[in-house]
Amino acid sequence: MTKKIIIVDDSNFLAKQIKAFMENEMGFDIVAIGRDGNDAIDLYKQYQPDLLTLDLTMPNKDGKAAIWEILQEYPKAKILVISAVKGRTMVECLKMGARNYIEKPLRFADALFIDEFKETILSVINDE
Amino acid sequence: MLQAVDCFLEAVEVLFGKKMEIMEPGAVEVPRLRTDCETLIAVGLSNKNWQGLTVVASSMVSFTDLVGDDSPEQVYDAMGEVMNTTAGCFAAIPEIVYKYGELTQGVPMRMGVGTAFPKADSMEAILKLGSGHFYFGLAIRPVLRLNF
Repeated sequence: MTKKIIIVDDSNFLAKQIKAFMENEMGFDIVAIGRDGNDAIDLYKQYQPDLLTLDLTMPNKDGKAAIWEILQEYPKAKILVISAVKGRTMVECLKMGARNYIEKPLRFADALFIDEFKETILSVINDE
Repeated sequence: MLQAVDCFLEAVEVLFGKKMEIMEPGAVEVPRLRTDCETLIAVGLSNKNWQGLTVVASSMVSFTDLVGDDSPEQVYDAMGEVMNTTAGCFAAIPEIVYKYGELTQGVPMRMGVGTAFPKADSMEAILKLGSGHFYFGLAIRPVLRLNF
């Protein structure tokens, strides 16, 4: 069965790039796109996808708050953080229960990055 | 400080596949940020002791050429992502972490002409891409508090 993915990022520009990658390179079905932490929570409840990709710095509610709220209700949720923020915040998100973390910028023109990105996505989706 | 423009150049190259050049005299440290460009996109950076701003400014024509989309909303969105990436890269530079601590960044903002950010550690550079010119600046200053 085709994997269901939700993408949450306040940048429409980047959300479209991630969507195109997930659809064309990985054959996944993007069931929804959100713009902030509130969307992440609402869309997760609605679709309970195989994977949620989540930015951190977003208006209204940030990604860290969304991770906490989603995992309170859905402890097995598979969340992959995709963010420009590095350092301690990255570690905090993983400690909270995000499955993995990809740093921006997403280098879609770099074959090595594409392989690593695919591997990370599959490792999160297949991780029980 | 001067590494900030390298973060911006990398973000532009990765996101748009385009290489800007830094115009003479290169990236310089300045007492404040100041530009007359009509369109500015910025991201704030801060912690309990420091507040900062990283900004790119140019004409809408140049931004449209860079982004490759003539919708203003798409231009602001794409350039916001460039600045988001730039801020994250800058905040992770070891020397910056050592001097200022961990800086948290905000969401991208559009700003008006002539913005200044005085009393700051600042740098600026003028960048060129084709016939377009872009202003890039970054400033950090201590958090200004009122003492009662």
